[in-house]
Amino acid sequence: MITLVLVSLVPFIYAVYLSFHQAKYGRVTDFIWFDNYVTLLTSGTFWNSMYVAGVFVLIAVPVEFMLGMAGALVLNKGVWGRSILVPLLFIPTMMAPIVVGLLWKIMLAGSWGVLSYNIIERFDLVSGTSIFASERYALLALVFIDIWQWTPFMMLAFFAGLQALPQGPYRAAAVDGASQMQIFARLTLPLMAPLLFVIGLLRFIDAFKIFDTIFILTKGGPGTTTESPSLLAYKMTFEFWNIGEASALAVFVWIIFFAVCTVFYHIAKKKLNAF
Amino acid sequence: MTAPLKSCKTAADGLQLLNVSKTFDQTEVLHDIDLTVAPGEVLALVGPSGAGKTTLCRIIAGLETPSSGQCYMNGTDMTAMPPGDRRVAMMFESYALYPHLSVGDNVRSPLLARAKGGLPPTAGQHIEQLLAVLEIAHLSDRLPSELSGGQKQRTALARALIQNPNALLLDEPISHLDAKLRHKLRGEIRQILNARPHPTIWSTPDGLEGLSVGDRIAVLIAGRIEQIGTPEDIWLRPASVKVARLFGDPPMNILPGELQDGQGRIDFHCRSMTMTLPPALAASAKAIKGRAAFLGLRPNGLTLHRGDDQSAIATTVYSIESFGKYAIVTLITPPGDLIKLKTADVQDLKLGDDVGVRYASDQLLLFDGTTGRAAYVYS
Amino acid sequence: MTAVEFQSVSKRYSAETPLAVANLNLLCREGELLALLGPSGCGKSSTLKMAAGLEDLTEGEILFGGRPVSALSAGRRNIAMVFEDYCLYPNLTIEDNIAFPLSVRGVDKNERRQRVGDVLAMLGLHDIAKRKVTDLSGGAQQRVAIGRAMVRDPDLILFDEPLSHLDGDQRIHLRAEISRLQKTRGITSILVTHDQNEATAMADRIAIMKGGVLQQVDTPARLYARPANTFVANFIGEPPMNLFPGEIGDDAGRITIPMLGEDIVIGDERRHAFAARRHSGLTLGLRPEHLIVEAAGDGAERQANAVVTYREPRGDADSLVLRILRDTSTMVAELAGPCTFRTGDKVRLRVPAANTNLFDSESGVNLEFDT
Repeated sequence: MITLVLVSLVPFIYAVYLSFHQAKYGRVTDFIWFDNYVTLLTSGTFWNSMYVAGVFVLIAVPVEFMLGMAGALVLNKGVWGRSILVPLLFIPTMMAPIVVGLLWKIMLAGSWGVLSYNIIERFDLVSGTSIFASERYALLALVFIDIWQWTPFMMLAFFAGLQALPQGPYRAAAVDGASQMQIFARLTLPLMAPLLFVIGLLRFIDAFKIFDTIFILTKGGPGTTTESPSLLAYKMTFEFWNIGEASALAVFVWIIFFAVCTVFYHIAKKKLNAF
Repeated sequence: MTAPLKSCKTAADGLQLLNVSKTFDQTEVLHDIDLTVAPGEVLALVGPSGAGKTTLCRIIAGLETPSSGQCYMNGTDMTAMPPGDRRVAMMFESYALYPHLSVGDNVRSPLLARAKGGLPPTAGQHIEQLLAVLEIAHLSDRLPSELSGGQKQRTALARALIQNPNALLLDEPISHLDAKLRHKLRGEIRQILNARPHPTIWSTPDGLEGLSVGDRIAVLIAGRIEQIGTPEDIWLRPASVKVARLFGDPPMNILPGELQDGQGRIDFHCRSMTMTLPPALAASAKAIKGRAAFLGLRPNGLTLHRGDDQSAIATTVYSIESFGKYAIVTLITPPGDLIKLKTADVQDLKLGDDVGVRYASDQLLLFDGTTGRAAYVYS
Repeated sequence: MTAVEFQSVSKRYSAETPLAVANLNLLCREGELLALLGPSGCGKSSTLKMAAGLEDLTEGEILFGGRPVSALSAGRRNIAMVFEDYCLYPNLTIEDNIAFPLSVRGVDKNERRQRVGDVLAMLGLHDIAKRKVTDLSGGAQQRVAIGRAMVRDPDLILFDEPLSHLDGDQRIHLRAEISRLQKTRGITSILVTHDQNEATAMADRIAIMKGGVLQQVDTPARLYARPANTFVANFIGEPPMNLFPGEIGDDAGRITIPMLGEDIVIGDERRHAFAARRHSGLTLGLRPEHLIVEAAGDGAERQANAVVTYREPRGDADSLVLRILRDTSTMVAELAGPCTFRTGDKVRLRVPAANTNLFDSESGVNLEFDT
């Protein structure tokens, strides 16, 4: 228990400590109250990173949810070859993010990308440059890759959830004359709610922290169009050597997570009698 | 249960419990139990679930230690004896089968544990016969996980019956079987037990099962023995309302009310309804100090009457269940009490019909309204 | 109220297996509670599922009030079902569970509230209407399920082993409750059960099935008194009917019982049943409570012909297992209890002709049975 506390708490406390200090180029100097936070919250790059995170959380995650649920319902109905399909679906989720990044670089990067050459360039959607260098499309491409990577996971998680649902109420609903939509909205969703909540929370945190695929594919560019909070913190630390401000960012993100988790937990407790 | 009996040490044969009490976490689950089971006797231990039947069996088997009191086997105090030395065979309600052994091996296991140098040659044949009686011979090679609840129960039963113990404890041995098999098996098991020299305790929540298998019946309610007696005693002269309700299908009707002295007779008032007690009961009614009383009406002691009849209780038909052989008619009295009646013939009776109920006066039972104890004197 | 008719209905699950239901013709009358009773695998559940629309018919047609329904899905048949394992919606309250069939059909709010209120009152669930169903005991859950079935006045309610998950008291209580509610509302109902007590207690008529084939449909009293064949005779009644051999004598109406070395004479009005048979074998059937048991005494008329091997007291009735002295076969008698006979007593048994059923010893068919 003590080990656990030490391991998990000490780095966090140290980050909080750093965030209240002038800490540049590897030296921790003056205690400067909230100066790091003020600088952070007034900088454009910070809000830009929040925007990027927001795009992932509000676009990628909901799309993954919907596609995942739709796929799970199809799987649950029993499609032909399900036993082969299920292991295949694990592939994207099992791949290391680095590999995912490289893979999509090969597929989409400029004129040597398999997909980009054959489809995108041919129809002249993004001319000349790699899609990852396009200010308009780079972020969307990353969102697309995130969806590609995580939808199968969601599908499998929801499928497992559907399989675990009691069958009795469905028999009753069929006899009671409920339509497929009514059964889904009034029975499946409420029964799945605890699972949806947990997965939603995990994916929210995960999407907010996104780093590796972006790091491989765009390094936040072009400009700062794909600079997520994690990437920003990385840059602050290793490119600008401003550990104080990076710590402030880390603490700020942690506060957001904490707030969201607390709200989720209370809603879940009230509405679902779960947990 | 007089004081001298409690204090004397006994050399009697069979199984004897003296003043046994058991307390778990300050809750008394058994209170001052005195019980004797003679060799060859089957004592049916009847009580609702939670009455303490299983705890009592576990104390006799040595799996629990009584908080106070002693257990004797053939005159020897075995209160402190470990379970293995008692040679008491117990069939658990939870079966407790060995999951890795087949049905046959499970049944064989207690014999192997006792036999030094192999089983006697007749053992295999004995086991086969027993499995056949219990209708599980064809399952001999199955594992417990492949059996239904009823089949597991019969395997556990076979494992208890194959032994030759000092005492046999059957804790709800046939409760999980369907009605038809239960009916058939209780007779066959009872006949197996007839040939046995050891005392047997057969616990059950079903009063009728107790009546049919027990030489005597001990009624255990909330950790106390309410009554011990022969099946006839218990059936004809239940010691309390609680005992009366446990026996009979449907259970005896119990009407709560008050006694009032009229001119030379005693009336029983149940809410807005008045009944005059038959003379035989009027005498025993005097023994009830407070005037509150329960009147017990046996479902098979009631008859239906159409039309005007002053001596009958006016009721309305609430539900009819026909069983071919007989029917159970549930009637509702004007104040709203339900009375069940068992009759061979319902003819054209319909829901909502107004009918009168007459009672055979020797089928009425009177209980004290405050204690629930019997307050009638029949020879 | 709707009559439900099965017309030559058959069900086969796969080519290798025998018919689960074979050429079933059965009518459930308007407002009637019909029980399907039989040992497991007799086809009763398949029959129920076909009526519900949860299983397709292999052959034949089912009519609801004269209208064929085999092409309609379960939800479009206007039926309700009460399941063995309750099948309530675990995410909803008692009230919302009962309201579910109405709300999915778009019944308006006021009417919905009123009908749900009626049902809650009828079941005595008003005070706990807002509780979650998962907190309830089995018996209470099944009451909610019954409420959900009755709330929209369906053409037919199907009860699929509704009491088999409940124990003793709750079972007896709910049994009476279901039959009362069904009678007051007059909803045509089919009950599937393997428990004869349940069927006889609740049903107006019982259809007995065995191996997919309908054996007999009749009122509980008629099934008990005049079973169509030896299977029904043995299946209905506890303890079961005594079945023993008899031989038709040459004198009209005289039947010899070799086991007892006695004759019985069947009354004139019943003789036509076996008039054509002379000197051939019969199986006689007699209910245990009809067997006459007398204490043995002196004289040929009262000479002992059986001995009591086991007595089982059951309060208001005692059953006696008797070994016949002549051929050591056994018979069971039931007497009003507590009776005076004890194990080992020698007794004189007599078979009353009037209560004796006559079966063909080959086919087991009741000679006096006509549908």
